[in-house]
Amino acid sequence: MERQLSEYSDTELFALLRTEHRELAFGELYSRLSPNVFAYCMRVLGSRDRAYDVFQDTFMRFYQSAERIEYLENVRAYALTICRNLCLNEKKRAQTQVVEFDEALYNPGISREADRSEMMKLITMAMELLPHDQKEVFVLREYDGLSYNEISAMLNIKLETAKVRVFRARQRIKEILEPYLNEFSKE
Amino acid sequence: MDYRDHINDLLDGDLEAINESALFGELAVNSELRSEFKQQLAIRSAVQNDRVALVPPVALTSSVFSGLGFAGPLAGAAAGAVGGSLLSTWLPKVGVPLLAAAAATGITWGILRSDSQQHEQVAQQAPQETVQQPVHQPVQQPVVQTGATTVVEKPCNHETQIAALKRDNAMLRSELQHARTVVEPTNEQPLAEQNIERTSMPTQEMQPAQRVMLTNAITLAPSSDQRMIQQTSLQPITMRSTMYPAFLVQVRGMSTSSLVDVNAPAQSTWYENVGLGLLYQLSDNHAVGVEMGSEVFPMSFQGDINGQTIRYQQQPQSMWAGAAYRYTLSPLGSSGFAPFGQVFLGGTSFGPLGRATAGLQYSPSGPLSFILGVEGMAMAYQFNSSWFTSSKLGLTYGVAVRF
Repeated sequence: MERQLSEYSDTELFALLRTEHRELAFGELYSRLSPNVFAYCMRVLGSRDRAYDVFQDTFMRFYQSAERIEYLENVRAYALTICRNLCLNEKKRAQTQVVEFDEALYNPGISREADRSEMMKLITMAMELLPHDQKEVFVLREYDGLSYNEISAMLNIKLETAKVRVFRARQRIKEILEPYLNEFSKE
Repeated sequence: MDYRDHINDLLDGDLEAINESALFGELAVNSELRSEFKQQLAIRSAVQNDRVALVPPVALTSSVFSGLGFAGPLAGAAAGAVGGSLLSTWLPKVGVPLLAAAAATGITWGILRSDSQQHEQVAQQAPQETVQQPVHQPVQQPVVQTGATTVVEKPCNHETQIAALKRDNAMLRSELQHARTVVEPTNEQPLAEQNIERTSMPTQEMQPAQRVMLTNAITLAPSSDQRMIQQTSLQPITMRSTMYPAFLVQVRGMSTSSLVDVNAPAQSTWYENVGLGLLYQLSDNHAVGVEMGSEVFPMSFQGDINGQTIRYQQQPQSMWAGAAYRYTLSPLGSSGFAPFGQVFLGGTSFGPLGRATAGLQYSPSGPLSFILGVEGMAMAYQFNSSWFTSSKLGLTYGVAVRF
């Protein structure tokens, strides 16, 4: 009996990218990884247009990398590493440009018309105020669900450093949102 | 002891049991810590909602896949297993040739069958030819073999030929007279019986050489034409109504525009907006059958996900299939054009589908017919327990083979 694609591990699917089943394998990997990569792009870069570009570029490079990489243990971390490097490049490039207020900064990425709760808007705004290192680990931890070990390996930092950054990010967000959180808790 | 660390560990799922009881003990008496805990939970909840809402839009996904030269994630998901990739790989390559071959085979078979039916009808209406069949057969000339050389002996005695011609002519007249006595009083007599009557004709003069000469004799005799006319009137040529039930294989395309305002790009495949149907014609007017095809369905819908309203726009492609009923009016004069109306009820991978078509069917002689009409379509689908519809209006055109 043939195995369904959903039964393959990420590593097996990545290996299938080198075979005639590449299209199916890529489709399955995309369905698994795209939420993580998209969340990282949107929340780390902030700008929707830039996030879209980096997101697309990430999967292009991810697919092309299968030609030279035979085995990959942690495919999700690898995809996020590609995404992170592209985001860093994009941030460097953007620093030389004049940044204007972008409504898309507070857009979750679904649609400009999408309505969101007040709390989610505040969370997005608070994250924009975080230092990059804290915001990055916070996104990897809370949005992408990476373990501290995966985060430390991916960012090449100590395990404790990863934990501390996440802790500080949470505290910082809480401090920023405290007045609003109190209002919400009263309601 | 900093209980904020414990709250942090609890959120990460790493809080040890011994510290868990200590934390909850403190939460019971410390309102400030309890407030902190509530705030962290609120933040976590909001982040989770935000994470769920962060889904790559369809347009972006399409860009990724088209950039890599792939059809799209839905096509891959539809195949399911890796083994299904063989089908998805080969289908685009062999699908068009197979479809063309099947259509060509159907058309050829239909034409041949129609042609053979016409021959059968003519043959049934011309039993008089049975008597004269030897005339149309190749000339059986006497052959004399002399050693290794074969010589064909040709009739060369003209007087003998003329005498034989007169004799045969007289015999034919006699035969014709006899046929009239057989045919005229029994106009409704089955042809088979007439044939039996004819086979009782005297044949003692029917020699091979004489049969050759009969050709000329028949050509000269006008009475045979009269007999043919008489016998043709016995059984009219079978009309269309006696040729039912019949099948109709139909391939059609659809050129439609969405009645739903959608800006997202359509998922494109080589087999989109086409339909293949098999109709069972019960009569000149009524036909029922099944139809399947592939089409792009514009969708615009919204729903609440984790407390936020999200509006989606997409144009995915889906297979559809269902049952159809067609009512065809009588042809407009002898033009071959006949108005028709068709209703279709079926389903897609998203929900139920209904179609209504009105148009003209052009049926020239032969098994082929062509259709052109306007079509309205509505497909209902569900999202978050709410129903939405995707509707389109446009033209449909196609070709059908009747067999």
